[in-house]
Amino acid sequence: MAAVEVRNGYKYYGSKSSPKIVLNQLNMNVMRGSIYGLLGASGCGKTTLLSCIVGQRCLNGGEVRVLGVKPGEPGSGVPGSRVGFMPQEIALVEEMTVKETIFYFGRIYGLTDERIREKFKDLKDLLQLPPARQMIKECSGGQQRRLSFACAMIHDPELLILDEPTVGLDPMLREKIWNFLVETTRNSKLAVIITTHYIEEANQANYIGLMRKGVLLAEDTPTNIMIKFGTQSIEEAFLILSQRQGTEDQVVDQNRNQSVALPAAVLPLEVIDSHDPTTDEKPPIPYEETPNENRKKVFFTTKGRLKALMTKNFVQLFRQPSGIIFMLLFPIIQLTCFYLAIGKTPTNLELGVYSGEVDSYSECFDANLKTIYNANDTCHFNKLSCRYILELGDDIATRKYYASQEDALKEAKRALTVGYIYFAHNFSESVHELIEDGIHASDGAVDNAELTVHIDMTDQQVAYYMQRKLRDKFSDFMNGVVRDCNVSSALVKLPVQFQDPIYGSTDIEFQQYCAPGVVMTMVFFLATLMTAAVFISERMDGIWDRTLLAGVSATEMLWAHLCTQLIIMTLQSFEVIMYIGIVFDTYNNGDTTTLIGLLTLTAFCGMLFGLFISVFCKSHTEANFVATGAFYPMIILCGLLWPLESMPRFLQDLVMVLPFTIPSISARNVIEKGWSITNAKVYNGFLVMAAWTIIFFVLCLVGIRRKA
Amino acid sequence: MAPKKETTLSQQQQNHHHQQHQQPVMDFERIKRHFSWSDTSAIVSTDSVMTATNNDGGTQQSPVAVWNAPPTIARSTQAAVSVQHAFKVYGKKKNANKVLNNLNMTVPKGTIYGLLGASGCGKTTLLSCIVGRRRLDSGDIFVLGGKPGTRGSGVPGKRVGYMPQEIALYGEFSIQETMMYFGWIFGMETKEILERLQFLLNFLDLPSEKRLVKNLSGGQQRRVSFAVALMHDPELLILDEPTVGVDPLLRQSIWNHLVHITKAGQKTVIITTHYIEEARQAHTIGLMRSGHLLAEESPSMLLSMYKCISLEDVFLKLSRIQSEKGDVTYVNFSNNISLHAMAFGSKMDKPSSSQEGGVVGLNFHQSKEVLINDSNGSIYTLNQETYSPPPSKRHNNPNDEESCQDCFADLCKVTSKGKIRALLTKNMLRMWRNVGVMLFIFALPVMQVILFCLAIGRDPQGLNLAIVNNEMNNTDTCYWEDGCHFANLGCRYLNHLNTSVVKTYYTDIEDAKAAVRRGDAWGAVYITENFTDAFTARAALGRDSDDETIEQSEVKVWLDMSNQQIGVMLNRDIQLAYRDFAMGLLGQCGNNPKLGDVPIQFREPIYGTMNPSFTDFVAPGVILTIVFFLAVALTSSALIIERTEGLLDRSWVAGVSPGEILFSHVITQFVVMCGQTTLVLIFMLVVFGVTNNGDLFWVIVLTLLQGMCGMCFGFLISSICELERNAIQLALGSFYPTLLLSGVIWPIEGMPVVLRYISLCLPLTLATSSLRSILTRGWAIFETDVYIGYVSTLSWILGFLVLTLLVLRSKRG
Repeated sequence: MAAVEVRNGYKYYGSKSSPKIVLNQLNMNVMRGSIYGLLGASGCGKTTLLSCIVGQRCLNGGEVRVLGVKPGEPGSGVPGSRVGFMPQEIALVEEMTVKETIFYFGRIYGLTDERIREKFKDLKDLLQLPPARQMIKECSGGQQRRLSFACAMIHDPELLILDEPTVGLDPMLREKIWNFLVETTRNSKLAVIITTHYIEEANQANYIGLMRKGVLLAEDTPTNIMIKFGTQSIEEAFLILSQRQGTEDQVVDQNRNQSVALPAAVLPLEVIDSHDPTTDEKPPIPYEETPNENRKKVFFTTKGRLKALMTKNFVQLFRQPSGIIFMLLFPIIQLTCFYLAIGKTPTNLELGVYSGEVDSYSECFDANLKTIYNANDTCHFNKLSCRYILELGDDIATRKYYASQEDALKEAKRALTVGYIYFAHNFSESVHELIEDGIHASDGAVDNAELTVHIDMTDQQVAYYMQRKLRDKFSDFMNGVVRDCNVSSALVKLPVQFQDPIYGSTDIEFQQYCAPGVVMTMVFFLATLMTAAVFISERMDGIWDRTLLAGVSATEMLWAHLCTQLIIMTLQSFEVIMYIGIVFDTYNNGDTTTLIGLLTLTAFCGMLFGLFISVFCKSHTEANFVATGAFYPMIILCGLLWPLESMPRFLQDLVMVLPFTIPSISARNVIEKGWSITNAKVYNGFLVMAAWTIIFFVLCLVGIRRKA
Repeated sequence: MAPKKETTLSQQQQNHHHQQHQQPVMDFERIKRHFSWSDTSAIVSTDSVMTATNNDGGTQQSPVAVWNAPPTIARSTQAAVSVQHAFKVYGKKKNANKVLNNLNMTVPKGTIYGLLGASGCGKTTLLSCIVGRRRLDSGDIFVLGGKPGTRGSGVPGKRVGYMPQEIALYGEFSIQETMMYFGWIFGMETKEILERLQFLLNFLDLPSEKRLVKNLSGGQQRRVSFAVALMHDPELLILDEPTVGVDPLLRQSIWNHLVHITKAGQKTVIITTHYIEEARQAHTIGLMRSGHLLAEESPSMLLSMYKCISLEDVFLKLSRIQSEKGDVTYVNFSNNISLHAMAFGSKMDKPSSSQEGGVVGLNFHQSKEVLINDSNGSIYTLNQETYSPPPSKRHNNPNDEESCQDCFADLCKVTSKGKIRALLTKNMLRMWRNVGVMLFIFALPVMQVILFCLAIGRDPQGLNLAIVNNEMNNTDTCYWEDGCHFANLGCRYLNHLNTSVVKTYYTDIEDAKAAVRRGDAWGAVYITENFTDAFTARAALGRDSDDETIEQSEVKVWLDMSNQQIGVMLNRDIQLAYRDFAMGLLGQCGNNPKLGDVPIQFREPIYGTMNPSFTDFVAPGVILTIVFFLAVALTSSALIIERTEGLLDRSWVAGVSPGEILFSHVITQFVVMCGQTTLVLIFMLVVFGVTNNGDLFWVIVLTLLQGMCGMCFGFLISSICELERNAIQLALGSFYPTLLLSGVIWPIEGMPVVLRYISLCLPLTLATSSLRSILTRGWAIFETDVYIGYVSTLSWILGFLVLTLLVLRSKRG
């Protein structure tokens, strides 16, 4: 009974019009209870053939039967628990210990923990595996290989496929593996397919297939082949065969287009027929496998598999110190930087002061100085500028006094001060006149009753801040003066009265404006960065293929990662929220749960975006560039740093669909205005975020299905 | 020239010897005699020529090591490669991983030497030591008569050809470009390269030279890789698993060629392989296991000695012996080996191990035969037992490097230009062929600038204001007359609110406030029904106006301050509108318009305009960050990619120094940066009209300097990180904090004091404020605030470079 049967296997890559033929009418038979050595140079189609056998790829033409079923059929157990596969590379998770690795594969194959433990004990003695607690990255190359071998054997498969198991191995270990294989196949129905470069070591195989350019040149027992070609070694036989094929190459190429079946018939026929008797030699083992059992296995496993996959994900994550540091520290560093550095009121500014009224500024600080004399309904002022200077204080900016306007200007020009304020020499008298005569005051008095300010307007934020503060202080000062004089404030008050703001406070800081958006993008992109690498590393390590071959579907892997990342992400959002709440006590007028909900949704969306990237990108570099490329435009465009209303109209409409624009407005609405989730301007943020989440998720699913 | 003569002499001997090797049955007695003859003659002639030889061979030894020197000289003339007592340990002292453990190896000139062993047994390390890529912890290596890595030895360089295990070619190059690259590095003329290329294409059956390497099949790539190693016809060819996974036919032809070149010329080949069997065609094979050569002998000899059919079996047998004995004690193991040593007593390299115990000193002038006899048994055993690695003994001979300075100095000078040319072409081509990178380089900065200028810093437009004007009497039109008319002043005031505001009229103030509360409007403005009257009265009465008049004459405003930027802006606009209104009215009525003004006068600013834009504030920082971090992004992965692709190793063996590679990257990057700077500045200053009051020249200089700084930071990252992934993470990770802390989007005056000092230490902070001073204040270079930016940038560049060199040095050591 054949364990593997390939009939007229035909497979090409590339487009139909210019196909690159990988398997060309290939026929192959692997018997149960035997070792089949598949030999050939790299690029001859070995790997493609194997992946067709395990159901990872499909043939373009021809038929494959593995253990009596078509690979890839649901419930066939191929790929799955009936096949064991050991890839060429180690394809194990470096951060896991030996035991964890064994359990990972055991669980994926649906073994019970008890069974795994038993098997582990057996294999450990047999293959001299390293201690159970040793990390794989601490194992030597040989140990890793043996462990990889053990993983392929853990579930007693009916068909074992070993892709170059002995390459670069110590001769001792190589011998051991071969002995083990020979022993096992002799005593059981296990079929082994082993590919190798070392043609000589295939001497011990029951059958060997010599493969070149997608065709089996010969398939027979090693001795038969050597006898047939009258050579001392298979190597030489292969060389002869290759030479023969090489000369007929052109013929094959020409014929290929005309009739595909022809070259196969012409070329390998004479070789293949030689093995036909051998297939009959071995009495067919009656096919009495119980596929039911396997079917049961397949269905039973989902829970165990998920457990295995998630354990792997967690272990992988937590054994990487840099990963944890990145995960936990990075948000904190960023948040700290943001909260400390951005949007706070500027402090430690220096402001030049020049008053023409005083000779020495110490006069102003004289406690006995009286600036207002109230007599007979009129006020007289003396050195009124001192009162303003005193009231100004050092809160806004440190005052720096100058003896002349030129000095003040000079220092301001050198940017030593932000600017300077200037009082005319007859400031007090002018104010007096203004109050007395009102609208009829002389022009000179009107001019001189003013506080003149020169500031450096290059730094918009600082300049506006200074302007606002100086204005506020000055109207306070004037109000105070007229109150002390018992005259109506109409004279000095601007007839525009700002009431208490409906939302927010009058001295709101820039930070409060941009915090919601910044925190959201941070949460989003941290989740993205965390997840953007998962599938890529997995694919690169080879663990991806290996797990797929163990019968786990790509969707299952997606779910496992989703669950793992969900937990991590929840932790991270929690951390961010706690940090903001406790350390920086961002005031919040609204419902905290709504905010947490929105942030979590954002992080979730970011996570899916990361998964989306990792599904579609081939390398880490690519993934990083995509993530970064997405990040900067978002920051700039989503109205986080600057109001949306300032953008050109078309851009405003465009950015509305971006994932942060509306949600960050929602967040601001909750924090500043205290709106609840029932408000349309809050829940639309949730809707937008949810829509993006769904889009990313669907794209992930589509992508991963296509890849698998 | 005595040394030269000697070399030719010995080469002839090599030839002779080599031919003997070709004979199926070896006459060991004859070889022995042959060698003893060559040695004696060498010795006879050397005594007087000793110093000259030293110059040539780079073997000048300190007096301490003098016992080592004489046989070395003798040997370096007969062997292409000789390794003596090589020790190499990876990892820390605690869990040291001995990769090479007292390894001795001799590769005679003009032969093929097959180095066999499992992966991880130290083969690659040994090869990298031979080509000078790594250094031994102790022990000596002589390659082609010189110490690898010393100046002028030609190793690494022109004299060695190296084909690494992986393809290690750049996929985006065509075959011709690949050949040009390596040809130039070897200092060949373009014409010469093309000739050679044609020969190799035919010889190795390669497709058209225009084909890109990445489009070739695996076997073809391998052949290209082989062709590169053959390119300059090196004296020593080192092939690291050239035949792995190669089609049998190709394998055959590679071997045929190897046999051919060793037969014809003075070429020596070292080939490592997993296929033990294919090594049958080699003249000598070394079986290596766990850092030690188990045997070094001709294949047929090994087979007959161990009575095995295949070399595989021999290796297995030897391995078994090693692991059985090796675990117990070293003494046993070496005893065992000594037996073998006895068995192939005729081995020509055995004398090398007899340098211990003063035997050499005594016997040196005697014939080699005696030496061999001596060393065969007891001495070798002794060596194995007693020879322990001297504690990190490096020959700290200061003369080492200069030993052959002059003889090859001119060669170096010539090649240097070709090398730089090759490296530059490579960098440029690589960038050019990679669309993604090109986009990243030139589209990204432009896109960032455009997005930034469009989205950040403008004044918000189209803000909704809910207005209740009770003077309008529920009519929809708001009519007012220009001139000194005191009627419908409310409307006149509102008219001044035109610019950025969209006015929606409500009849009831509560409705208006509700609209704000709903978020439909950013603020509510309320004007009472007798606003005009009250306003007039207030102006007339002046100081005597009563409270009610004052209250009625006021415009009341409720703002939504939840959005700071919008709130503050509306606040300002509403006040300014009043100012315009009052001044206009007073002016037209013949009063001093200033009476209507707030009695605080903001005069023409010292720098900037009355209406500063946030864009002007942020632009300098944005320009610098874009240039800085693009440079970081591009360079941080450049070296790592080169390293992971294997091209670095390959170029290294071809004689390119890390300094040259770094330099070529600097040049390439600089060109790219010039382009980026131009683009960014054009878009910023010309297209979007960001203010520039200063000297454009200094702006460009500072931007370029910052780009350089970013580049150096990128180099630092790439020297620290092993993986590209980590490098990118580090670059990205550093970006955000730097952006936030450098006072780019918010003045550093807004930071806590401690943080402000930290911020000043960052590379971008001072440069940003310096550039801001140039652009907005128009300051010249000699202002402190300006030149400090240049100084800080320069010192950062220097700092990064020094750190990079330190890291690189510590990694090599």
